[in-house]
Amino acid sequence: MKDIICGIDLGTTNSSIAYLSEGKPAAIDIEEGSAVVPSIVSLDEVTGQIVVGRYAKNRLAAFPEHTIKSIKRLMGKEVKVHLGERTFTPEEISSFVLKYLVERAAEKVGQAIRRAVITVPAYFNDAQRRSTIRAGELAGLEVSRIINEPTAASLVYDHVSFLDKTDSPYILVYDLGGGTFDVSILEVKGEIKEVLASCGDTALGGDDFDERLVGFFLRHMKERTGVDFSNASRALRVRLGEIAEKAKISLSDVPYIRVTEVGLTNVSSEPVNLDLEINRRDYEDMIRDLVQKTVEKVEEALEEANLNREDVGNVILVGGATRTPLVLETLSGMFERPIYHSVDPDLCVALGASVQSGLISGEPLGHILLDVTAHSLGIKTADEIDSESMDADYFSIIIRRNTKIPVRKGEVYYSMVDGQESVDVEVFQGENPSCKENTRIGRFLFPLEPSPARSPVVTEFAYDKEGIVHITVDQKGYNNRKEVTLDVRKRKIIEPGGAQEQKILNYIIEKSRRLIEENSLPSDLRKELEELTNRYEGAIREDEKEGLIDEYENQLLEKIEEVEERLGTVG
Amino acid sequence: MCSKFMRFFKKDKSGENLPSTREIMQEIDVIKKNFRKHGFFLDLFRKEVLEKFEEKRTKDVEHFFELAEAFFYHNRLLRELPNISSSQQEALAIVWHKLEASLSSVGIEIIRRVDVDFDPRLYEAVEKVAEGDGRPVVKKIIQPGFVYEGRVVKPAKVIVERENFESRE
Repeated sequence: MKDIICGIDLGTTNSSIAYLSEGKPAAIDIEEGSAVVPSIVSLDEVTGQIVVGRYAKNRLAAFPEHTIKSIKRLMGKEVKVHLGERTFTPEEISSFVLKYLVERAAEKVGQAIRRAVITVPAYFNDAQRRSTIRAGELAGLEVSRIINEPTAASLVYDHVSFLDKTDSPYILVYDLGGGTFDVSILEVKGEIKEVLASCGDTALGGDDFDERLVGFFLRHMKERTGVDFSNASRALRVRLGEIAEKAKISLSDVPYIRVTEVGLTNVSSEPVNLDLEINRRDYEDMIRDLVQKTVEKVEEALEEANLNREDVGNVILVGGATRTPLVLETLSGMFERPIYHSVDPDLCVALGASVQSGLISGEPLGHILLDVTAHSLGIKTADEIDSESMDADYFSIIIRRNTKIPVRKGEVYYSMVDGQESVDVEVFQGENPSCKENTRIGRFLFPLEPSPARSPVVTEFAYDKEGIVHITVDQKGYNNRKEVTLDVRKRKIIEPGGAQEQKILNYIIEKSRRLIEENSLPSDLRKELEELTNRYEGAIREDEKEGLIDEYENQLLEKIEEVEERLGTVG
Repeated sequence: MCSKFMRFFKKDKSGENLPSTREIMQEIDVIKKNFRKHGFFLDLFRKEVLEKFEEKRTKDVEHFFELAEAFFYHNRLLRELPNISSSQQEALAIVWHKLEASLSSVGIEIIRRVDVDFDPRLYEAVEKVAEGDGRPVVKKIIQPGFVYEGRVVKPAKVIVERENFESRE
């Protein structure tokens, strides 16, 4: 069996493991299709066995004296951990997590894992790092290297193919997890990435966002029943927490959600239900101060590193809570440069550790090809007026640049006057707040039903992998919807029925781009394929004559066939 | 598919309108291209159908979960009412029976049993009442869980009780 090195993100709350699959980092599903495993260990006193992960988490409240979580906080300390009647060191507990990850991963990939790169927070001292190495050894691993979590995250993005290169050597890594926040500033010095500054808040994360929603639900219940539920039972709090988490996730993609929940509790023999609408703006107002706290930490890190905002070259987002649109929006406003968030923020660190393992073993690393939006996509609104033409000129972004596709995102806009007859929907792509500086890629009229000023119109973009955007405009509450299909490459609205044909053309281009990224493709073939793809794509975009497009297409299809035969990937 | 086929000439008696070799080769090229493009079409079609099927399946299952959860909470509150009659209780039991049969027909099993031994594969304990040395028992379901096609997709969140070993005996 071939031996591989893997990368492990040994986290406080959760851990994950990744390896290089044909030169590309891949996370390994460990539990029920999930690559994210709770860093919890429990001793089953009946069988005498140590259990880890989801199973241990489920036991936590039932066997608190036999179960431990967040062991990472004790690493490097001379303490003993009691699980029932047995005693362990923090290293031993961590080794159980590592062993579980490695054994499950080895089963999944069918290869032995004897060496690993393990990540630690940038602020870990020498004793904590040594303690982590020891944990790896106790798990039967040779720890090839310990690397900082922000360094690992940045390593992934070094190998993502679409990224623009920057002259600045400074990288800011913003890591907002479920319960903790860390911000680090790295300086790239040749092959080395040095941590210049690192700070954070160990009691701030996405769970606090949920708590704000729980508070909102409790206030709503009080308004309806007159009863104060703030000292609610654990059962009610747990249930509200689940509802809040679901609401938070939905609000990342759509501007409105309806929460309908039956029978939260009884008041005077009457059930208390939840049936309310939450819009994203209200939710963002609830969490704005929390996001602001992270901004203050970012400023603190910049000061510590003796840098200004403009000095930072790249900003990388890590941690599940960074999926909240307000986080991305706030940082985009702060840094005025593309924010990197396309790699799964929950797995980014483990994937980076696996890249490091490849660098150590000398394994050839390929480019990571991500399907992302090359530009921000949005519509023109009247939030700003062009002073010369007096026309509306604000570019309101719906899908931000570098967002992983397929993706579905919506925003809410409002009519301007009473009885407004229609909305002129102009779709733009670009990065400038002024539409004049961006590229218009489509325009259509949406007739409105008679309604007062400030009537909401929800606009949703569903962007698929073939570069087709399905736009839905919905005059909320009036049963008035319109659906339009837009080809981003061709920059035009597709007539009904034409979407499939266009999808095939775009699919040909996508397939070709994937083949170009194949490591084993000879360079001459790669070059030829790249040229033909660019020429064909350009011809489509420029709406060249059909005959010419046909000719280019023919040449490209022949080349793809040749490449596939060479790579042996046909069928 | 927008590619155009060239038209073969009909052969007359003198054979004068026979297509030239070049024309035949061109025609073959067009056919080859259409085959290639058709391959892409099939590839894309297959991918889309599979994705849509999986998406629909996931959505359908989630709708069932939501319905079952809603009925679970509604049922619990009704049963907590002080003056619920035995026939009303019977009616609730009948609806449960029908709902569970429907869920079972699509491969879903709801985890909602109480007064059974706590099994961490099916249940997640969120609270423990009564300290004891006996095996923990599920006393209350806070949120039901689901098994789908034999896989625990969501463990039930529960309150457990650990009685003294002797008192259980």
